[in-house]
Amino acid sequence: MHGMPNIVLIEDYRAQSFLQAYPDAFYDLSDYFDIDDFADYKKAPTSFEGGQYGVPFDTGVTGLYLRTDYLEEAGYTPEDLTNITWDEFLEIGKDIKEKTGKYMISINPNDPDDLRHMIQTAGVWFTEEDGRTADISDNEAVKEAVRIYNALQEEGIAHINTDWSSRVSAFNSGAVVSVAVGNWMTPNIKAEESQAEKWTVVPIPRLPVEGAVNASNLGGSSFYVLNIPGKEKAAEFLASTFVSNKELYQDLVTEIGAIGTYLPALDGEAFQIRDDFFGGQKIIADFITWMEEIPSVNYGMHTYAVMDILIGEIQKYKSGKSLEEALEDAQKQAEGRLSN
Amino acid sequence: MINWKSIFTYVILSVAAFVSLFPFIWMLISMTNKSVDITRGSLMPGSNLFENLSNLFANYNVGSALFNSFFIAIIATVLCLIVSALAGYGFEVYQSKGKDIVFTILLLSMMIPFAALMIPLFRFFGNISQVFPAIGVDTLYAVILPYVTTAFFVFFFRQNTKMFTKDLIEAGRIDGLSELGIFFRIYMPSMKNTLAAAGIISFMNNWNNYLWPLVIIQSPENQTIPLLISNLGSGYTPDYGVIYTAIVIGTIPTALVFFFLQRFFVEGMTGSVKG
Amino acid sequence: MKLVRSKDLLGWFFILIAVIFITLFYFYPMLQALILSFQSGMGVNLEFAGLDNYRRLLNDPVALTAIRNTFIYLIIQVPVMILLALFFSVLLNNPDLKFKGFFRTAIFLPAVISLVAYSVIFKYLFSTDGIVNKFLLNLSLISEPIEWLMDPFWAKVLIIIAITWRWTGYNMIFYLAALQNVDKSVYEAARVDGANSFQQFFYITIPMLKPIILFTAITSTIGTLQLFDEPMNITRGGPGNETLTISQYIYNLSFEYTPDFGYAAAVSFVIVILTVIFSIIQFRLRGDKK
Repeated sequence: MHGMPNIVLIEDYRAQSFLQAYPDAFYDLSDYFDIDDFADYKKAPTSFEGGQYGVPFDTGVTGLYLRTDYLEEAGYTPEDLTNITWDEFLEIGKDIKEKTGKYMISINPNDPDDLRHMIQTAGVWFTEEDGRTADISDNEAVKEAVRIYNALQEEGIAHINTDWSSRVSAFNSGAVVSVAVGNWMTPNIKAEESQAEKWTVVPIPRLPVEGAVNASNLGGSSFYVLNIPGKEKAAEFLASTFVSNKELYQDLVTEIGAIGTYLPALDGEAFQIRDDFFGGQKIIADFITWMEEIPSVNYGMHTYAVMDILIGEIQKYKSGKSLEEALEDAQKQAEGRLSN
Repeated sequence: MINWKSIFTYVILSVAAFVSLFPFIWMLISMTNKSVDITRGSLMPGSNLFENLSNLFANYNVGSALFNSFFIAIIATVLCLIVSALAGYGFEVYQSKGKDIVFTILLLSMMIPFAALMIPLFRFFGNISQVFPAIGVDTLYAVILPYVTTAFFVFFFRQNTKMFTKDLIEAGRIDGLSELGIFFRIYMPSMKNTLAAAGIISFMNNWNNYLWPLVIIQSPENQTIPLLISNLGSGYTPDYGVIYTAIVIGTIPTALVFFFLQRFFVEGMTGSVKG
Repeated sequence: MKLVRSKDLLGWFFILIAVIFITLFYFYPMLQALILSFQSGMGVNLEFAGLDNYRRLLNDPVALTAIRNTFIYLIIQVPVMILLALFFSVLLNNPDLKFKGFFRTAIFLPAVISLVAYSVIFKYLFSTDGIVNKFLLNLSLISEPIEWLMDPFWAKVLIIIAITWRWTGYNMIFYLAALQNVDKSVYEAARVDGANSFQQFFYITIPMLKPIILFTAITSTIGTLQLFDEPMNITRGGPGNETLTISQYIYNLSFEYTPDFGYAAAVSFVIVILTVIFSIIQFRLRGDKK
């Protein structure tokens, strides 16, 4: 926030590690607002040892963006891809690739953020509920996610991107049929005006494991107040804006396309808008419906450390190591890293 | 007669120049395009230059970032040339066992990655802030101070001094010049090419420095160009047209500094008095 | 005798300012980092841990991979780049050459490129369906596109190409500056004696530039041992950890993962030790004899 150096915005995946690593650096905001006014899944990352440190900001609720014209060409409708599992996604993808020659999805094996939203559909994470015990080799969701992630490449239905710009260009240039990602990607999809009315959004596929739902999250962040002089003023500023000002949330979604997680504000007009780019679909309203179903998980303190270990082992799995062995080695490495 | 040797030279240099310049051509093309065309990898100039420029200047304080970057790079470069040349000269001309040991120890300071020094250095400036806030955390001087001299430049000047004709020093002494007078009136003028090379490198390092300002600078009004560019790239919808416009603006000063200083590499006669 | 001593004292005065600045801004934080390397914990919750961090390092497969990768870059890239830079500087030092300013500026410019542009462009040029692959396919040098970013071998090659592209011009200018100090009459004499260009290069240029070659060899070695920008921006250390460097790992440990400054500092001192060893070897090999 401009002129407010005591307020910082931290990605939810990193929040617990900051709160733990710098315990005295953040100001407890419990007295300033009620966390229950926000989407449920935001509570775990923003609170720590009984204190409420973060004011939840935007949601990373995910959806499956689809090119309706490509689907039609291959004989599918968006309904066929609604509330499906990732295995079904894989099968449909193979068929569409055969019929249209288009890749089903674009992924970046060096930054496999898809794994994160995949496993959250099952309500689990790479660490146990305590946020610090590695949970990889005995975790059915991780196993399935890694298997499917690799299959997307093996079956030749995944386009490979290497960074943000090639990721965006994959769908802007019409190379892929679908984009499985957080709602924050919307402005980038709409940037290619020539594709207007060719897109729709359906719920994200779920993992083929017990209890998984067709709703997940990718990214999203929250506000924190640094424990330095001026903290009370900063906390009051947050309380008077992000914890009460409904207008603000309408403006945010209209101006920059960011969907807040403050539930009382999410029934305003701006959230009911029909988007012509998506064939008149009320995409924001849909995202909010899915947001309320996101399984709550504790991202813990080691998300990115575990991700990097997994990237290494997936590479080995790709070149012939068995899935079980790769995940066991990942588990061992993670235990070594996390115990310190 | 065809001079194969000179044809070979031109071909090699042209290929090298093309390979080196290609990304810069791409940057120049990109600053005229819309973000969506850039991510698509368009190699054709577009018509979005004016819009990119006005978006950049309307939404970001480019003027103040340019001022800060120039302030830091110029002051740091001038100080670096004087302090490092003095030391390089001192180590070589007044060589002694004790100084050689000090020199070897100084070289050690180059050997640790800056990423490892950042946290202790930040804490150190936190302490400085308590006493002298004017040069403490979140000031331009805090960006400059660690780069006033580095072992790299001291080493560079010492190695170049090895090639400096020592007879000139004796000649200066006979003429009755003081030791400092010899340094400023004989050594410095005859080291123009070395000073130019060091000046280019120092200016470039300070102009492009990213990690240290990122850590030590907090207020938006103290932002430098690399910080501004990295801010443009963060967020969910980076506008590559604006980013490339900023990058081109941020590259021009170093390119110009190089272009103007490189002529010292031709005028070799200043380098040493022959015969 | 008195004169010698006063000269010696004066010499200390010349180096004094540099010594003060380097001590304050490098040695003092370095000492702090060394102390940190014997501590363990998350962020600011540190406690004394003795040699635990160093012990942990020996059993950390990622750290060992990073050290191995860094070595590979070092051994291949530094000699290639130094020879190339010497070669360009000799070509550019030809008094009859036209467009000198243009060539020099062009070859130097990669050193000033913004990291954002650098990473985007390299990934774009070297993508599977990128220009470089198209070019190689057209020349029939390869039969199928090279997976520059996804193949462990080619990703390392890409990093080496990228560093060479970026730093050759930078090293070249040290040689260009130094070449001005080489007495031209030596070349005349050699030419009279019938020495060809190669002989002049190996028997005159290289020996004359020895102090500067030593300087660039050591600083490039240090630069490569601390290599960070290229893997961070082009491959992100991937595929897997196949292009990860020690410096990038230190960065990850400090800022990407839950901060573990103690362990990160311990890994840093691995670089210090390696650099010291390599520098001693280079000083010995190239003989900085008085």
